[in-house]
Amino acid sequence: MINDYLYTIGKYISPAQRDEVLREIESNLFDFLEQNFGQKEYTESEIEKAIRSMGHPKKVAEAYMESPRCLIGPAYIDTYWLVMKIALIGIAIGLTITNILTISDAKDGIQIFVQVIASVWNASLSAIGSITLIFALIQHFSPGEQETITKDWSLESIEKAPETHQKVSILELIIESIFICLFLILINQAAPTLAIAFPENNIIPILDMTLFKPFLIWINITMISNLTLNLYLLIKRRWQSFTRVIAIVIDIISVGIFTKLIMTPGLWDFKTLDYILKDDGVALETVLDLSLNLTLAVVVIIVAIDIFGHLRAMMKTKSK
Amino acid sequence: MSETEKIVLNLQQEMKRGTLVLAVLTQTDEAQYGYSLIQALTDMGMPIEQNTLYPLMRRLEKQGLLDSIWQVKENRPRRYYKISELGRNVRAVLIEEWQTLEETMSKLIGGVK
Repeated sequence: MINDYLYTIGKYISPAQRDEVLREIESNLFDFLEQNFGQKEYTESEIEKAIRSMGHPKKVAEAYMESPRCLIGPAYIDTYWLVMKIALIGIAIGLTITNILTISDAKDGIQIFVQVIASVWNASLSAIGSITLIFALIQHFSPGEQETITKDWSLESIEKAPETHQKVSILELIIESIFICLFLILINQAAPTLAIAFPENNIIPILDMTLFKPFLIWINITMISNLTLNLYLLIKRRWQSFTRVIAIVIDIISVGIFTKLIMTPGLWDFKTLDYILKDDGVALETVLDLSLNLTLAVVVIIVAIDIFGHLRAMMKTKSK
Repeated sequence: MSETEKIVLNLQQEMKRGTLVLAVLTQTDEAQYGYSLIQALTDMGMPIEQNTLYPLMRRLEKQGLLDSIWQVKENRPRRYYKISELGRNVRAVLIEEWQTLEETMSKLIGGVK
């Protein structure tokens, strides 16, 4: 019974301390038995008394542990849950859309439904595992222990409240992050199936995948950088000069990639339209070309406004 | 147990917790093992639970206030604790602190009707 008791306590104690602590507890148990029942072969009820005098195994282990054992500590747990929610929402929505776009062999709605559930489940498990692993590693290498607060604590430890132009919109960041996750899933899984459907089973793919593939890595890098910046801002809850610089750089790179995408000849493959629709195809192709250029113009304007906003905020910070 | 009794018990335990360290340091001029120290404190009117005392002694050792050594007597290993030089210095300061506290509390309690 003593061995079982020690084994149970040992489960709650870190491997580094286990042997020493259990040795001590065993010694204390036998001290109790000796003092109360003398030196002899002890009965089950006597051993039970000794064990009960020590206490519940978990309580004993807690008393010996210097700090609670956890995979992800209090310093990171809130951020962990936030990242998890963003990732899972993005995955759920993204994969649902992707599966609907890529369904070709499905016979009925139930098959689509099962396929969606299965893919979301698989991707969610991978995301949960990856995110948990990352945070566990962060916890292990940088436990984020609380500073020791002494009587002579410095006023420098008081965090400055963010000015109006430094505040971040949490809701905006969360929504943007969800859409980034969505976009990443779509671009990596559903891009080959972006197409226009015509009667008599004519499916015309929009993108020439051979020309699009080289852009994929840069789009992924830019989006993931944007996502990382958003997560950093969600943790810090304020804009700082360097985060604004990073945001500006990401904006410029994004516009650059988008411009290159629009301007790459042959990337947007409308030739098949001419073949199927004849004269109407030429007109449609013109409209689509114009739409792409218009989209580019809108994106450039929006990004320019965003960059201007960041620069103005940085000037405000500098002037203070 | 009534609500009042629970509150009183909780507060009594908190009060005792504050005095345990000094109590342990006063009883470890001679090397003591865990259970012998429990007996010594109980005999002096300070009963203490095993899973309160043993981790406390480990903590005091980590802080350098106690030294410990494993010894085998009658075929049984036991960990003996004894107050260190640092422990003696700290004990002296704590005793002064306690005496000041005692005076202050006597005044405060004396004013209670």
